[in-house]
Amino acid sequence: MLLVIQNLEVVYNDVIWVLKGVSMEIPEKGMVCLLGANGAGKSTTLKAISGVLKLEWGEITGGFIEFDGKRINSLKPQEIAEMGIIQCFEGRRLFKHLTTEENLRMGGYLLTSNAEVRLRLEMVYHYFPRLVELRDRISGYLSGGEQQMMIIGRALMARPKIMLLDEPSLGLAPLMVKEILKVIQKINQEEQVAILLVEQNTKAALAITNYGFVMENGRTVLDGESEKLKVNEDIKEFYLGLTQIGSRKSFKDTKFYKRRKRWLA
Amino acid sequence: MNVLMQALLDGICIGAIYGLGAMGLVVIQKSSGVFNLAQGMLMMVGGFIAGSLSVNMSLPMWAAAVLCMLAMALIGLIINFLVMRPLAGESPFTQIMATVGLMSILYGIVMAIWGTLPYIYPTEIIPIENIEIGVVLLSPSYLNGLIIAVVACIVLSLYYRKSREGTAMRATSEDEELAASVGIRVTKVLQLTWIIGSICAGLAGILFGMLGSVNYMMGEIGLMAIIPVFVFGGLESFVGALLAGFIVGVVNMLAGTYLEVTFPGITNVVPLVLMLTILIFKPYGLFGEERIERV
Repeated sequence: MLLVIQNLEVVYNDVIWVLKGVSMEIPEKGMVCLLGANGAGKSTTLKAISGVLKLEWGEITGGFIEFDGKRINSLKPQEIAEMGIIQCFEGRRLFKHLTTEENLRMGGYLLTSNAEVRLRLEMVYHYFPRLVELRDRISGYLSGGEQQMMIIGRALMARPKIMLLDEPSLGLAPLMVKEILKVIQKINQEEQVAILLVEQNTKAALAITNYGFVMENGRTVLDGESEKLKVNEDIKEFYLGLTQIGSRKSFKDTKFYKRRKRWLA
Repeated sequence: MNVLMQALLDGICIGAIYGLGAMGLVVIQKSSGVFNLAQGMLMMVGGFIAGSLSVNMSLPMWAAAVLCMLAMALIGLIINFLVMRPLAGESPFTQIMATVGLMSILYGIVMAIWGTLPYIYPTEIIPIENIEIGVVLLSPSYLNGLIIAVVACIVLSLYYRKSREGTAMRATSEDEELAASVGIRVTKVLQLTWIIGSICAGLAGILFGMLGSVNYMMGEIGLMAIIPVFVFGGLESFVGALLAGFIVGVVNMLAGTYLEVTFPGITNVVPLVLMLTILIFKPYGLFGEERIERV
């Protein structure tokens, strides 16, 4: 296993108990998605893995995270990045006053040789040809889709072993979502990079991943192969909005609190 | 006419020194968003260190300047370690207030070590003869200020534009969390900015002292001189700081030459009035980056 998380607990500001027991396993070159409603703790899980949690007063109070068989709980963000765990934050975070290429170069900040930086840049431009003509533009003025491409490109620059993608589809046009998810899948297959994808767009996420975890209230409550999750009754009802028959469901017939109770136990 | 020419050229040279002091502010502002109010005091410390080395230990001025820069680097390191690093992640306002405290502490240290006696030292780091253009005379101390400030501006601009570390500094100023996640050592970057900022202050202090003497008033006078330059230049641009320095220096000189007789004390007020007027019409200053806002 490339990444193992066992019973992870996270507390913010010494009082806010956000993660209450998250367990996940991600194999080498795996393509895994993490699903869950708002506030379930998906983003916090990613931040705990990449270590940036410590910059925002979060603390891991229980459980452990292992990468390549090594504990990384207490490492600094840049040490974790050096190991090959690269996170893309939610909401298209970028250095908006820097140009596209400067942003990409910052992604490759840890690469020591210039030759490798050039090689990696070539690779990013191969996956996202559109970025070539935008290389000298100030990235803050790019369109949302272009920014998202640049951000995934930036992660790719860092020679990642695993990429943690936090809602790459957020706020993008449906066609753009499709395109970006396709490239993510391609990167996973061709570059041997494991991917942990956090998505609200459950259908799209399950379509391109092999395995999925579901979180609720700070716990992983369900996991399984994506094919199986797709037909799981609960997933269908809570995340895909379908009933057994496959038709859209009216809210007036829902009594989902009973089913939810069972999960929370 | 000659008086005017002399005032213009002197103004440009003095303005260059203000610009250099303001560049130190720009470095720190750019990376951490903190307005370093202790910059004037740092200038004074630099001036006194160079003064001691040159007068008491009779070192040549260039050696005193180099040693002073090393000492300033060390002081920047200590300030970052003792004051700024513990406050990392706090709001910029907290950090700015810390620099106010720093200002008093530095003032106290200077008074304890050097007291109120002024230091007068040689007027050139780079040896230059007087330059005469017609009847206008440029003295070595002024030319030194101009040359050093312009070189510093070019070096800093290129460093920030082109080098990997410089880009990392700009990246850190925008988003520390993101910078850390791509592997930039944020604490190292902040440390480096305080070192560079202090060196700029030290150099500006030496040059400032060359115009007259280094004395215990220089901290406040220096700060009041560079604040309008810093704001005017747009807070984040080295070229802006230098050009704003030229403008403020020239205006200062002209006011000193023509208005001081009728309105005593106006020389110190004019740059601030100029700053307010400019801010009304150009809120980002002359070369400030406009904030990118997308909806």
